[in-house]
Amino acid sequence: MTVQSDLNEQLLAQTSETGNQDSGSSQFVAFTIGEQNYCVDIMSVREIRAWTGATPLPNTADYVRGVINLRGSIVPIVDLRTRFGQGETDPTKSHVVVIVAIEERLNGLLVDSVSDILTVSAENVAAIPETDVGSRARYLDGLITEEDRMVALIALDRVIDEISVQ
Amino acid sequence: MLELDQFRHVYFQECEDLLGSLEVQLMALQEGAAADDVIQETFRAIHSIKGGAGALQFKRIGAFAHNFEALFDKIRSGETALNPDLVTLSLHAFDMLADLIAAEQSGAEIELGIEDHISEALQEAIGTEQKSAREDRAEAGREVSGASEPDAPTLYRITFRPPTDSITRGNEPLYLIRALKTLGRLSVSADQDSLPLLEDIDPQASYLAWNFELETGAGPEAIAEMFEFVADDSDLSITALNESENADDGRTASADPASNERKSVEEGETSEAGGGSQGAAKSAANPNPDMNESNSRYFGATSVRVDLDRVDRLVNMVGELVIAYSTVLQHVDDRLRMTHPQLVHELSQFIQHTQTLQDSVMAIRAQPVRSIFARMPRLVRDLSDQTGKRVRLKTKGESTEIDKTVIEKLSDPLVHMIRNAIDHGIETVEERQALGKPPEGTITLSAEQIGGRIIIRVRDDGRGIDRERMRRVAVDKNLIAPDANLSDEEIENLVFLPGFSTARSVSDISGRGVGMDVVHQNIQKLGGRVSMRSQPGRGSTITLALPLTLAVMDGMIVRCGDFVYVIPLANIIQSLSPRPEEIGTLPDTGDVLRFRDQYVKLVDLNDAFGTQSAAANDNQLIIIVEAEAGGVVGIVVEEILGQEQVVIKSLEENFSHVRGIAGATIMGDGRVALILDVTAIGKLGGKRPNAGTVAEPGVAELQEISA
Repeated sequence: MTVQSDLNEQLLAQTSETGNQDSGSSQFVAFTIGEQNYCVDIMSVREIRAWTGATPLPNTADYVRGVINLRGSIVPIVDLRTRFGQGETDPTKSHVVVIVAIEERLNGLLVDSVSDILTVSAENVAAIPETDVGSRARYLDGLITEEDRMVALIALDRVIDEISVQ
Repeated sequence: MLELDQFRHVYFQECEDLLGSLEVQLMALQEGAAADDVIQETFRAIHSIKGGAGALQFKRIGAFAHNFEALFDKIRSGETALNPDLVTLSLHAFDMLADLIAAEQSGAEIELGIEDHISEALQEAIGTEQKSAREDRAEAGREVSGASEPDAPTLYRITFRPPTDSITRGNEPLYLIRALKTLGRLSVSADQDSLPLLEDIDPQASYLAWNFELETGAGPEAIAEMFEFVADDSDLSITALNESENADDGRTASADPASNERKSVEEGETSEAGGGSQGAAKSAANPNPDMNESNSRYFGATSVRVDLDRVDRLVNMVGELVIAYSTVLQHVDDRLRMTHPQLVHELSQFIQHTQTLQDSVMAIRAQPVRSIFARMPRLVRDLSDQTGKRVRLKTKGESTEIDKTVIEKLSDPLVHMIRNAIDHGIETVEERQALGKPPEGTITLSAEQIGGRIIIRVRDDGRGIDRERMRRVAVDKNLIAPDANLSDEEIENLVFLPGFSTARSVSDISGRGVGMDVVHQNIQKLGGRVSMRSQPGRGSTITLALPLTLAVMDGMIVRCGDFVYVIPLANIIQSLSPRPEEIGTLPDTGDVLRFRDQYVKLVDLNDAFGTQSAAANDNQLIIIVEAEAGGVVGIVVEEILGQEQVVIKSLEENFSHVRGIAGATIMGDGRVALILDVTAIGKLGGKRPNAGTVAEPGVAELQEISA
């Protein structure tokens, strides 16, 4: 739990700093799913929570793990691993839920762990190589190179929009 | 600009209230009540609409309302006698006024001059043209003012001009006026000569001066004492008057229609700025207004308009509080009772208060059904005109209160139900006479609270439902099997099935086969039930049973597998533990249970939701619930955990609608439990039969058909 609160504090501090930064660079919350690194725009992240279980929702897509109570709001949890077609996460207490807001709607992303907060200038976000029917690429906005890791930037609106429509 | 928008907004809100009240009064007049207070109230409502229209420069509304008002001014002064023709004219004028206001609000174009024929009829009814009507009114006013001072003790004229900063200094002239009133008969007129233009007004400043005429036995000292605190900075004069002077004054004050006009505008403004004291705009045309009455209306206004979002936030927070206390309760055990008896005692106090708080907050959202009932008389009038049938609408229980959200969603279903009653239920005048019924059909719209539900009924005295024909149509449309064995009630409720319409010709009014289906769906979305009963030749009654509020619900908490669900208590008929021989398995339908001479389809939640059963359940429990159209379904669960009041949370807020789930709630331990949508549960699980192949009698079948 302390890891999460530290991250949340850092998140809060970073978010408020962002306001003072020049608009050339953006910040991203990076996390891992298996060996793969992903990130989302820090401005859409509301908080980071430890996995404490969710109430499954019937008649929904397999990647919807269920719903949790976030201070009185019912928030759906998406298993990003399943969403990206890599099987189902078997969550433990060390798994993490990243709460993101897309146009006021809250969603939780179930990931393995949160690794970092990245500050990247706009020109360092590389485009996704064009593919014909990039099944995964559809949900990505770009690629960021951090040290020698490749971090995929998730297009939250597309990942989440299609969930809500289902 | 923003402020003006706000004024507009408030004005239209008030218009809605005023139109509602106006219609109620007009209906009373139509019923034959010609009591003075009804006429006064009518006049006042029209006048307030006119006043506000003047202030906001809605010239068409103002001009039309002026003619309308003039008629009632004549009526209340006794110069024109009220007769049924005038009532009918007034109703038409009312409809037109409502249209003009609606058009102004929505910005819609409304044909120029469309109101002219009614305006002309109104002027004709007054018997004079506009101008002279106004003079007449001034004339009438003078008589009143002359008559208002018989052999009075003493009549004083007081002029009082407080300093412009009197309000910021805490001297509210209003209190003074109220205090003066306690001395005797008081009439007040405001002198607004020093009132600046709207854009120059400082809302904190006092620009008005007042002229009072006070008829009192108290001496001038007593009057002066009233002004003691303000006399130093104010212009104040108190003079005793003799009768002749006063009569003169009456004439000068009232013979200037232009100044009266201005006053009415001014009053309209204040009433808006005051945020909803609709009674404020008192007749300015009457130069000697009866302040007693006006005061009680103005200052007696004890309601405030609050943005619904704020109320919702409050409701939400109280919901959280309720959850929090359930959580706390779980920690209260015997040990705690022993070690900290005082704490436990305080806690129970706290819980009681929380419950009271919850009830009070819910009551804020409650509104009388009057606001929607008031829209129906016009519908009935329009429809009787269109169909040539004579229909009268009676309403009962308008003051029954129900949650605002429910009210808003009730309007469409009610419209459909009334349309249906007029189109299909009520016969033509000739038919009715041939049957020996009164030529005029009656539709009764009633509301009452029974237990935790609001019951709304629409009853007509028309031809009722032709069950044989209903049945034939349903068979023709493949909605039921030809040999289905349905009770009268079940046949009558076929009307709520999608795609069912027995109208021989598709009319403009109803008969597209969507109306009653929509009613059914809308009411179910509100967590309510709808049913139809009919007596052939005598009429039909549609009954809506609605929850008092959408925010909390009594639920039965059940467990199935590892999951906890909430079943709305309102839908539960019975829970039972069946003997094995009572359950049969059908090849197409799945399991059925014999229950009260019916076969009831069973839905296993584990199957329906694709979850795993924890153990082989020899000990299964069945909860019989009412699904749709009076249908019945049995829900198979593994354990009943108890009953609880739960706060309904939306899944749609962050996610989307899920089939079979009505919402979610948060349990005492903070976990989420899903609330079952029992109306849709029958469609989940079990295998779906091909249409028309099932011959299993009874409700189980009806259920499948509607699936």
